[in-house]
Amino acid sequence: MRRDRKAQGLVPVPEWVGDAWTIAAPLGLLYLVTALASGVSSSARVDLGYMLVNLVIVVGLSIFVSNSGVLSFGHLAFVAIGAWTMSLLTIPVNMKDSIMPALLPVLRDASLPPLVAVLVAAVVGGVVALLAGAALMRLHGLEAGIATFALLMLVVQVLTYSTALGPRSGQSMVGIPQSLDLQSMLVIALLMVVVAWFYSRSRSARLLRASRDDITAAPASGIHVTKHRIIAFAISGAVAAVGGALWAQTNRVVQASQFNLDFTFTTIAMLVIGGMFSLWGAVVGVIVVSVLNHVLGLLESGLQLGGVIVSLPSGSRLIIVGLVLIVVLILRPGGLTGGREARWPLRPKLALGLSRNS
Amino acid sequence: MTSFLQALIDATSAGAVYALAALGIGLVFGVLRLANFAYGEIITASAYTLIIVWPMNPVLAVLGAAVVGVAVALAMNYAVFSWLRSQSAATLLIASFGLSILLQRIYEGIFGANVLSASVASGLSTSVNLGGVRLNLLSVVTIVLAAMLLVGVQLFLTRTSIGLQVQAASADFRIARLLGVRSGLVIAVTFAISGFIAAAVAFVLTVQSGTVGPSFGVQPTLFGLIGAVIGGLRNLRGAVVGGFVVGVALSLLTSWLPPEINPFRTAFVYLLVIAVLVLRPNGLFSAGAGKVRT
Amino acid sequence: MPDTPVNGETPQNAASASARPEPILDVQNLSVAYGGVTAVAGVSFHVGPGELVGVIGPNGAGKSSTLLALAGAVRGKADRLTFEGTSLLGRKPEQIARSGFALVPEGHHIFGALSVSDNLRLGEVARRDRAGLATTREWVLELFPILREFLGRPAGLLSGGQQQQLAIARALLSEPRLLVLDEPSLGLSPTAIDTVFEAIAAVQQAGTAVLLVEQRAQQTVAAAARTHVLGEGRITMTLGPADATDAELLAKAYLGS
Ligand SMILES: Nc1ncnc2c1ncn2[C@@H]1O[C@H](COP(=O)(O)OP(=O)(O)OP(=O)(O)O)[C@@H](O)[C@H]1O
Ligand SMILES: [Mg+2]
Repeated sequence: MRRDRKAQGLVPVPEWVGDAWTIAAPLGLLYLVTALASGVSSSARVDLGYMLVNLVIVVGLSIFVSNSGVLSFGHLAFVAIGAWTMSLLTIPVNMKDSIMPALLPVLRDASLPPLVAVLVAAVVGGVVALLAGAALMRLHGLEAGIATFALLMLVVQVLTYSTALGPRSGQSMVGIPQSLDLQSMLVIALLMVVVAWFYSRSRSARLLRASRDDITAAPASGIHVTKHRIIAFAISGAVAAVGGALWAQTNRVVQASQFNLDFTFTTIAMLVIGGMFSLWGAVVGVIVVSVLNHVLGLLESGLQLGGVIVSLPSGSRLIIVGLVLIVVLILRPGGLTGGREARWPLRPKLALGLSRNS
Repeated sequence: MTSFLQALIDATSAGAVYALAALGIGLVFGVLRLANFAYGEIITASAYTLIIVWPMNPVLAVLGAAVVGVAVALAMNYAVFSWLRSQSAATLLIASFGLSILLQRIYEGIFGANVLSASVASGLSTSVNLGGVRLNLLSVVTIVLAAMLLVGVQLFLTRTSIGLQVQAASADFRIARLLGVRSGLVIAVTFAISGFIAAAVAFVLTVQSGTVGPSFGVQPTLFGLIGAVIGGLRNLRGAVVGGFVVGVALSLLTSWLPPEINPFRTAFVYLLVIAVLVLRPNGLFSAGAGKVRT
Repeated sequence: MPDTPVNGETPQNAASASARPEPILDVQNLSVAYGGVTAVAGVSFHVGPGELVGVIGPNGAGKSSTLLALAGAVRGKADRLTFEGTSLLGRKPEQIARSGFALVPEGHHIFGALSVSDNLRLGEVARRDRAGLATTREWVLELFPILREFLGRPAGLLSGGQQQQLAIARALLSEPRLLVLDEPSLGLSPTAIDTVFEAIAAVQQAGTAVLLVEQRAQQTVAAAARTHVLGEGRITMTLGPADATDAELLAKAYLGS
């Protein structure tokens, strides 16, 4: 960064370079981390799978949060819906019969190839988000946070207890085939980043961001903001549902109670640590927290460091992520990226076009 | 008829618990614009104290629970929230969410993931016969305790100078400071009271269940917070009534829903919450309060 | 635009004049910036004990910013900023309020949900001690008799002029040695303005120094020992009571010469 000053004398870089950088940087970083991590160890590859899943979920969350400025504590609802859709569409019929005897006939007989199932998950998540958004998007601030959280709890309760949609309460859906390898997961994750980027450049997203800074004045800004918020919510719900679908086939055991506060916290922490108000922040946050998680996981299971075995008590992961979150909020409330999009490293002033919207 | 009355008393007592939680959360929100998600972990700390100390010495346990509640609340303030005073309400909420998860894991590390049990004030778990109606003694005690705390807080806010300063700070912190209201003191006092109320909530809940685990306080905090928001967090009375309504609704749905759909009672409560928020975005009782605020 | 004073005291004169008694408030080269925007750009003035000093100037001139910086509510920079000899720089608003400095900010910021008497009680928070409290209360209620009638009412139900009186009364209950008022006549009817100005005169009579920011130029210049004209964050002129009748000069003061 310090070299920026020296670079000032260079021939100006055209604006499109800065613009393109805001998408190239997250894609490149994600690709690089995946390529590097997949060669480290088999446990790293497992965590890498979860990282890509979380990336899709957090990018989904950020599509709504970063553009609208409204907090959502409920995006796991769409993750759960995505996971459910994926599971119901890919678990073999005979297994469904044994773990979910009361399943609706349509759902029992439905079976689709994994990629199509992911697509269907996106559609279901998007439609539910659209409907929920139509009801909730007039709210702002704390009320919006609580309402989205209530939505999550509602979805979780229904999925827990409704035997027409899944197993009996307390039981899990198992037998989900792991049909997407790391490669295809990476492609899907990169694709979702591209979706988020294109959305953020749309007129609708720009209008939404213009309203972002004065959330408190939202009631006065009227119907337009609500409309664009609903659009953002629907797209973000669809992407989060894709994350849920990937999660189902990565975790391969799905239960409603998994979509709990700890999971909610992890996704929000990733977004906030990276920087709530940009796509770059979402990507950086997921990668940083995932790497941290991986290292802490190694430490929890005892890591040999130059003759001594370092080991952390289990459960320290969330303690440390929580601490990191609080420290970041105190020292750098905009997150590690300061809420900006990735900046072209050579001529910072020209790379600002997308991120500074107000 | 008598079972109806019983159900009503039980519902009132459930409402009273969440009303207290909403009061504790609402007080702090008033001065700091902090919807303290980690309030539950204050409750949990007091509950651990009660469960562990009660078998040795009940009096010490009650005193200890109160002291621990106040101490944990103050520690939260000084360790975390005092560094975030200039931040937005959203940032404060996220920080408290992080603090909540962090503390739950710390409790798990100290006390284990399993619940600890002890029968606390088992004398309260009996029924009393009042004019032919059998009443759960704990319900009655809960209602009385909640009423006393509500009146106590009301008296504190209106009758004492520092209480008046808390009210002023809640209405407009900047102006209050220009009048000489000490921000640090007012915030600390508010946290301390909210911690004391958390200890009372812990007392009632531990008598009820006799157990405590790392996430003991999450449920009452969630419902208290939800109640406070639907009642209108900007208005303490609304918040308390909101908490009460949520508790009553939860309790009545539990006793009245037919068994086939009883598992969905929580879902109904959340549906109700969404409906209230959509229909009355500024809280159930916002209209009356708005008139006199400038 | 040169910012040499057009009339009245020059800053040098002001400094030598303060060789008499120590000024109660001494401001030298105060500036305030919000982010990159400079609102006050090097303002110097003083208020002597028991003196009434006025500040006038167009909207956005930096009057409120100056007062808020004095009161510690916004951060300012200055070569010297002392109240009764001790520096105000870096102190919290509540510390400043408790040291005998009372600011009535722009707009009547009373606590609408609280009763009038509770609002008044909040004014007493900044007092050093409770000795003489009863006398102060009595004096304040005599100054604003209308408040006595409404003691039990929610302050939010008072009229705008009554709320402004309440805000001043509240500030006086801390028994300040310097009362700072930011546009107390804002939005008031002519009779209400007269009440406010009479009250200010009475306060000064009682020995309290007053720093008065106003838009009512003529009335302010007439009442104040000195009135500084603020424009774009600087003092452009300083007027004396004699200038109050010079309509042309007052107009010029506002147009920034
Ligand atoms: N909180 C703030 N943030 C950013 N800029 C501000 C803030 N407060 C004031 N300003 C700016 O500082 C300048 C001075 O404002 P100030 O309120 O001090 O003026 P004033 O002389 O009191 O005006 P008025 O007569 O309208 O009250 C204005 O340009 C204003 O826009
Ligand atoms: Mg002003």
